[in-house]
Amino acid sequence: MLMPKKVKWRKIQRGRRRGKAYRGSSLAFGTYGLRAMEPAWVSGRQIEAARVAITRYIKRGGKLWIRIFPDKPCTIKPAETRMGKGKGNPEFYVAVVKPGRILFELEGVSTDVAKEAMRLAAFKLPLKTRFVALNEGEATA
Amino acid sequence: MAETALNVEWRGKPGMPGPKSIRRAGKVPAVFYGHHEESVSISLDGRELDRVLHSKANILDAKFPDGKVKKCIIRDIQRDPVTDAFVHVDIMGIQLTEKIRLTIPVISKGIPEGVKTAGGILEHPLREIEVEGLPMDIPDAVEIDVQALNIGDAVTVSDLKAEKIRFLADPHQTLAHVVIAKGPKLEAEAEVPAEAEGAEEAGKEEGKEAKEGKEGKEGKEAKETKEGKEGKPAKEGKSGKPGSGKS
Repeated sequence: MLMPKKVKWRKIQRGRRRGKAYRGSSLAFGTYGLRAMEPAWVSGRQIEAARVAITRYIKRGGKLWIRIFPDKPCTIKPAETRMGKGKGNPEFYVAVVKPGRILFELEGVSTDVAKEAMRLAAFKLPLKTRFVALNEGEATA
Repeated sequence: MAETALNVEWRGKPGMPGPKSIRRAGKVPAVFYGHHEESVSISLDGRELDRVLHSKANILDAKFPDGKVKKCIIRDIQRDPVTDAFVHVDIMGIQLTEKIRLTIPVISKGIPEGVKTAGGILEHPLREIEVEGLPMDIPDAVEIDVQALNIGDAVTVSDLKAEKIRFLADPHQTLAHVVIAKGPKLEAEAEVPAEAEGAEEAGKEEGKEAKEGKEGKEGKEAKETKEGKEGKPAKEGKSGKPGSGKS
């Protein structure tokens, strides 16, 4: 499961997810990709589940790139605890995703296979997504 | 290099609609600038721009409202990251006798031998390349023949041959190469969840221990040792802090 090896700050504030993803919003490695259409926090477990879904479907063909990394720690207060007494404990990490962000990229598979693999991966993610493909001869910028 | 026409309209003068209104009307705000010219704000028809881009013509004849026709290229296109709609376009006026720098796409032709026989994957680390030359000498795209590539073989910028244009990218930079298709990490998949579960269980057990016998300072120590061992933040004991239980 993806998570940072070490962190500078164990607990951080939640922040806001306004705006669109102007960085990481175009295909950089593969021919096919999965684009986020709404903002969300995607946990390391969800990314791993989506990765497994894609690799299981494409079997021994193709190459996969994961374009997001869960580097934001999320805390949860223990059950049956009264409010106060400080912030909860870090439990998992999430990637902050804004609309337009490319989540996964695929190369070396047919369009049909890529579409189906991305569809299966999308079921594991907590946000609406769209399949994107690079047209032949089209500039990526 | 193919040419095509593009009608432009003035924009940005007092009393004229702003960029948002222009986009709402199906047009695209743009700017026209050149080597010996002052930049002017213009707007383009969105559908016409789409047609021009699909025609793959690099040199355009910009037709201004005052009747002037200027040779130009599309320097930059800003698109909406979600809808892919045009946000803004940079159009650069050119002289046919002056050299220009332009980024053109790299297209691979054929299916590599390594993909056909050995099940490799053709990768394109560089999908477009910057070239320098006279506008009429610059091709619409650079084609590379990848049929002969086996696993491990690559086509680099130095393999490209063109008489009238110069490639500005690093000659050692790879345009396309065939790599071995690594199988899915199914073995790793089985291990990862087990490890994660194990770590969680360990965390819970330690939390329980801290709850049962250790309070105050001892609870904090348990938390610290766990973090040190596993290198990740873990659950603290419920009663690691004094007074955290029900009262």
